Amino acid sequence: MSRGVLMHALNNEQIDYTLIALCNALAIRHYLDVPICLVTTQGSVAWLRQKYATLVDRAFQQIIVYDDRLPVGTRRFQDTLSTQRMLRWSNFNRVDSYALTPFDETLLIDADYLVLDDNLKHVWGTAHEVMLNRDIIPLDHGSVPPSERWLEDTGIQLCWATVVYFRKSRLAEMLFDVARHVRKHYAYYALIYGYPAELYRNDYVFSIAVHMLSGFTRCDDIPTLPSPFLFTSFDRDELIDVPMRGDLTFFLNDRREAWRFTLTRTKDISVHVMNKFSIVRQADKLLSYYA
Amino acid sequence: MRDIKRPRGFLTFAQNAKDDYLRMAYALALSLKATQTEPYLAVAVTPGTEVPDHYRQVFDMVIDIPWLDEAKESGWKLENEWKAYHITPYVETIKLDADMLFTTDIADWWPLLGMRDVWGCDMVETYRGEVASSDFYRQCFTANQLPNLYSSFLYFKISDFAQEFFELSEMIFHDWERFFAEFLEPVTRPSYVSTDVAYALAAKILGDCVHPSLVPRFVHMKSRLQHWPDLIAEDEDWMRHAPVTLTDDLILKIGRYRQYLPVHYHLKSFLTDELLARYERHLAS
Repeated sequence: MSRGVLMHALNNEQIDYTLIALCNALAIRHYLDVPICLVTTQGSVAWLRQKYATLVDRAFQQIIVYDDRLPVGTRRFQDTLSTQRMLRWSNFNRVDSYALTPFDETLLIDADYLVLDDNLKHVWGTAHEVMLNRDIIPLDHGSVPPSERWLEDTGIQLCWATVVYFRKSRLAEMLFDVARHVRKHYAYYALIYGYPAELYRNDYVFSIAVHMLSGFTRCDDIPTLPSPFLFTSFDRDELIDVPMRGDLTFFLNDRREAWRFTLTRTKDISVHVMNKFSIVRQADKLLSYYA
Repeated sequence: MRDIKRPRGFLTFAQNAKDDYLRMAYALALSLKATQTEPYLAVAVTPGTEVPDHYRQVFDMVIDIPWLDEAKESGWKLENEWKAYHITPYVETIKLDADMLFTTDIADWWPLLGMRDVWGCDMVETYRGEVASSDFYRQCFTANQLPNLYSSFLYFKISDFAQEFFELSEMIFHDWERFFAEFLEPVTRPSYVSTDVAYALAAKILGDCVHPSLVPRFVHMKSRLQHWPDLIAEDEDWMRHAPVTLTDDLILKIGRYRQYLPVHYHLKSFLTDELLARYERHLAS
């Protein structure tokens, strides 16, 4: 029974997703000690190899070059409050992960979910075929915006595709099949489920798939991961330092009082860092601790 | 007064005022026929009410509300509900509000409910399957620590205790101002009598009327219970925010969620002719 982590990383004109994936992969190897497979494009991996050739081979057991992409969209990327950029957004192929994974048991992890503890070790060998989370906890432990809890205010519960565990099984196959179906008819499901069609989010796609597979009820049939929530910093926050291994320092922006930033430290917990730019800025430090 | 016809059945009051409760009771009866192993609904009406023949065919019994019509002057028509015990044609009865629909068979609830003489539903859910936690409509219950009893779904069986419960309810209905002054603190004290508060007060005085359990429950569609943002929840017309679909095989979805519990739709515009026709077609086939 092979076990491993699958990550997708497709660079755009400004965000070096493969570098983020490299940092994360080295951390994952440290904490979870499993092989990692990267799904990327020829151009993205060539760019990464230019500077980190030896690290790439050490971090990734396998690299799947997957250029069979759906049309690339654009979305707004925010780098703290100060900067917003409209950039290419290529994240359509996560729903193909079931077919792509070389593992029997797979942890599908977003590159920007920095794994800094071994909590996810507990998924291996579980009786569940699929696990994913419905809840997040902002690092300031404040309330979660409704848009991050529901597809729309009166709609279905949002499931987070940030970390998905799945085993080669009938249920997992169905989940990904339904997710692919929703991706294909994304605009139609936007009308039905009330999310903004112009923004492609895998979270929406998986939420609908889970909702359907749960008989259009609350999605308790598919359990949560061992830690039932994801610690999350939003794109208005900034990862400002990595002072030591497992240690992250953030400036957290207050959603209600935008001028206010709070200095915050996390230690030995995994964090979903939505501000990708700030991860790239700290990449050298992350690499220095885990390379 | 009582003429026992069956061991188990449902009972509802349908006194027409500005809303056509008889039509709602008809829809309720259709939904019971479509889903229940024991689908019998007795309907209590104002004496002299004209009940169409096709309604009568799905009602198990039409009962004229006895004694005086105590709800004659009332818009909400709740004042006769204490008579439920005295008129039910069943040994075991679930008293329902007329503006409800059943979506699945609750046959397995009966043996559990039968372990008690009176069992009031004290927990309702949102259409999304969460336990409704808001006490927006129930400040009086919180302030007075009343059992959180919802009179829309009340089980009772012919027994001394149930008789005592309904006799006390009768006293409360008849002398509600005095009871409320005696038992309810003044800030949240209602200025009118409702079945919920009257039954809850009787339940508090007597005890042993609500019991911790996963059932009975129903989906209560009042907007403020749905855990919606305030801007949406303040609109009582919940149908503007949560679409309703009823398939040909009578799967009811609200806001994309399939409903498995009884649904208290509360909003009268919910019951369209098309929805009724779908039930009729299904049962005819």
